[in-house]
Amino acid sequence: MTPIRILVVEDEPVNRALLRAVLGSTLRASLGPIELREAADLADARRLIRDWAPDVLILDVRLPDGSGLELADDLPPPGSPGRPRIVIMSASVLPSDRRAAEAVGSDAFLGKPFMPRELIAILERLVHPGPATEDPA
Amino acid sequence: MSDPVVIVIEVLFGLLFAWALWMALRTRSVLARDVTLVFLPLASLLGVSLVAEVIGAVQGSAEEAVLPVWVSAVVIVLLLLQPVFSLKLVADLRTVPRWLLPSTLGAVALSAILFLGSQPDPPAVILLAAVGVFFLGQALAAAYLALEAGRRTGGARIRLYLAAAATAAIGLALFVSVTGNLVGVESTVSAVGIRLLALLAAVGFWIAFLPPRLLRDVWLATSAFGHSERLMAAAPTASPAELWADLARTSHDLTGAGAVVLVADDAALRVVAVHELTLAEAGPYPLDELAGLAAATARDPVSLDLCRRSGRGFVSTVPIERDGQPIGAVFLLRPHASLFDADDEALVSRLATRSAYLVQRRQILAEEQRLADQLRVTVDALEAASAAKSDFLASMSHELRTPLNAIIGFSELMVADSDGTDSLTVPREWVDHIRNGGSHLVSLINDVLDLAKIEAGRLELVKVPVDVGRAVAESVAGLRPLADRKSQTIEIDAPSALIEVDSGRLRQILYNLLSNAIKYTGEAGVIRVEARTELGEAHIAVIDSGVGISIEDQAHVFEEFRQVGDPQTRVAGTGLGLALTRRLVEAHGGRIGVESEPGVGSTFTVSLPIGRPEEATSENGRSPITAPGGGARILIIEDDPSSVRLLQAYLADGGYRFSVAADGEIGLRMALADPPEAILLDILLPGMDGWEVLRRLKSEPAIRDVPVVIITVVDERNVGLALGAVDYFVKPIEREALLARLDRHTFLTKVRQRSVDVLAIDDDPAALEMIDATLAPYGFAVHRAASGTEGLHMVSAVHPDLVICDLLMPGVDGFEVVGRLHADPATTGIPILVLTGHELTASEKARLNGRVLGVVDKGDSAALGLRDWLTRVIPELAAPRAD
Repeated sequence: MTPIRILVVEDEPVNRALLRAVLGSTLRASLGPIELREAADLADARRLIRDWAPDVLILDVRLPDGSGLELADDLPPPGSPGRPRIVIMSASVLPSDRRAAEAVGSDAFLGKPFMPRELIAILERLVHPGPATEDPA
Repeated sequence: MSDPVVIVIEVLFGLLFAWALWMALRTRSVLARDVTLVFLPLASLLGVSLVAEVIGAVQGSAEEAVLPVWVSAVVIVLLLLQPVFSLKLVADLRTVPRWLLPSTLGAVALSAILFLGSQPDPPAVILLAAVGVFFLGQALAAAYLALEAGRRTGGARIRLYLAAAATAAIGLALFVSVTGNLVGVESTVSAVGIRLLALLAAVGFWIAFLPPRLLRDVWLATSAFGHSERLMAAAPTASPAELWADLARTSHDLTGAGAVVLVADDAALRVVAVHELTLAEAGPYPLDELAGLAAATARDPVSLDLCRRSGRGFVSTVPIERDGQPIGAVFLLRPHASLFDADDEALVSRLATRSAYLVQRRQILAEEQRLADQLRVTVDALEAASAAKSDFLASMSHELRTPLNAIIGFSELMVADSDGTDSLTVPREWVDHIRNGGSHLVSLINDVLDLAKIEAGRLELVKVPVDVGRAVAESVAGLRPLADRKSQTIEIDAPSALIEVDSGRLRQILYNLLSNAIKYTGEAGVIRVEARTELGEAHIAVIDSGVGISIEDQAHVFEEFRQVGDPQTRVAGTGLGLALTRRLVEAHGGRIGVESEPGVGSTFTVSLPIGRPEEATSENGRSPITAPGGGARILIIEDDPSSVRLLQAYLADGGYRFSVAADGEIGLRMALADPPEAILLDILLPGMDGWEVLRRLKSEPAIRDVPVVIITVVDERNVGLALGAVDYFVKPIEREALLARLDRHTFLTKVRQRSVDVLAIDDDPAALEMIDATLAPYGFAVHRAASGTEGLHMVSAVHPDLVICDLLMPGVDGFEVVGRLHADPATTGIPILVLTGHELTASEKARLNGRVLGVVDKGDSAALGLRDWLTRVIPELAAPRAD
């Protein structure tokens, strides 16, 4: 089984550590094998998207060299073969922030602070669409 | 010859002359007199002719009677004087060359002598010369009048042209008459023509100088209408000043006078417009003199009644009225009399009133506009404030969620990773993340609360004299470990200087600026702190050699949640530190500024007003806040030598003794071996950390009651208090605050360990009785002193743990007792409670500041007040034994 490639784009080291921990914990068992890479800014993220072709992006919005939404907007449109699924993850959770995330064609919005199970549920839905979304817990 | 036409003309002319004469006599004005003189020659000629005819008719002769020779001589002289009279009138109205009148008079006199001397049959040459002088004079007068008419407008112009034409007609009439005689064509036609010309001239003068009311009203209405229209057209956009200027110009156009408009503003009349007030026109009325004149009569515009004619010129005052109330005046100034004073003034008055209403309308419109603008500004400001509030809330939400993410995420993970048992093993890193998130959250909330307090105006500054140099040194000492971690050097150039500030807030300001400098300065960088006092201000500069801030960003560094600069180099922080710092500085009435060059470093400069710290300074010049430690023993558990040195210095200041343990194990052993009266405990210790030390201290029955004060850089106050610490200080420590708290705690220890000796000093026996009755149930031994002197004596014998002292006593009063106890090294440590019915003034409070534990009001419920104070200061104090 090919591992799911997940790219975390997040400038805050603590949050990257948290995502690492969540995706390394027993919670993620239902996702099957995953491969995780991290980027701390947009430039790194673009390079990794090009070279590594991740399946899922977990994308922060406020990044040192711009907005994560810009990056999402630049990707091929939803449904295109090269486009990863996008989870926007932000501490800006006003309705306008959520709408802005939808507008760039993201697949899910995860507001900080988030529950690890929430993230796993979202990822499950994105990588195993269909009826096979059973909560392992 | 008795042509009825001629007779009618002569009668009419006579009537006109009589009218003019009557006016001259009635008004006694120079002008009316001169007008009558202009009529005189023709009137006398026609009158004499009429008289001759009447006499002839009476004698039954068809011919005129021959009158005596002197009569015709007088008439001839008067006729020859006609040009002189005409020019005299002209000179009344305008400036003419000075030589004109005398030379005309000379020429007339010469021609009269020649003419009369050659009677009864003068040669043609003499006759022609006389006529020539006459005609020339009249023509000159007519020309002058026409010129003057050309400078005027409206009715005045018509009247002056009429006067010019009449003057010319008189000349022509005489010319025709004399030349007719000369060529011998004396006919009825010419006689009628001459008389007709004379009559026309008379009518012309009449209309010009003494016009009938109907005609005057028509002219007035026409002029007023024209100017009003112009004013109205200008009004919608014109400012009051422009409207007044227009009135001044119009007044000038109508009257030919220099015009000055004065309007009452508050109590004073002010010159609001001036038109054509040149020297030529205003004559000897310079503007400042006029303004002085106006000021002299300013209180009541009605009384503005300047001399209508001074020796130096002519001034007319026209009141400006609105709603029947005078609000000002127009001054009309000229060097010559006006033909038309009354009419001019009536017209100017109408226009002035119209202007006054327009100005009022304009002012109302302007006021409306101003209110509308003000409203707009207010609405804009409210909108901006509302937007700023929304932005702040959005940022706040974002900033709160970020640390919460770590706290919630990692703690959830811990739960998820648990294997069902009570204990779980998780990576140390996770706990650190949670703890750091919590600390960050707390500092964020503290900053926000501080900001909110300032916003709501509830920030209370307790200003005390603070040594800037010392505050800087202490703040630097507190942050030194952070700088050491990055191998940074901190240079201090801050000489000792007292300023009056809120000591805690000054330290907060210094802490924020210093910690920023350390954060943004790289490894092995240099940070410099300078302090200077000059011109009533203390300037503190924190200079770093960090990343610097671009010019655009400098404008925003003091805004909430604006971490500026290259995002790559963003460092942890609440984004509120500088915003809060600015508010704190401003709350002190100071300023904060930043200068920076990217890549070189930044300088933050704080300027604070010095205040008047000397007033509250004690006599020996040191900071008056000295704690009465009373030689109590303090155990310091702290590994960092610089922190130990600082604490030792503080404790020595406060009159404490101390011992030091460099780690927790040693500290515990020392505390058990010889229980101190209080323990100062650091958290970050080698080996066993401060939390564990605290836990163990509290679990040892022998020392569990010894108060523990935590002193650390870890800001987790609630954890510390929950574990049993009595106090929690985050470095940098404030000396005064630490000592004040220690005093309380050590006093409490003494109370617990043995009976407490209290010395009560009061000249009122009832008060002493009350103190004893109140304190005895707590197990306090109360010693009574009935005066300040006795109290001071007893101190050395009793060695009291507490002195309770009245302030107002005969002889040595309470202030002196406090001062002496404080000054004597043997007694400086004794805590003092002031019990007084006297309301303390600010300077009295300053005298007591730092030398007493508290002040209790000696009112009706003094006993209750004393008990309240005791239980407030020492809540742990055992309840009084039941009687």
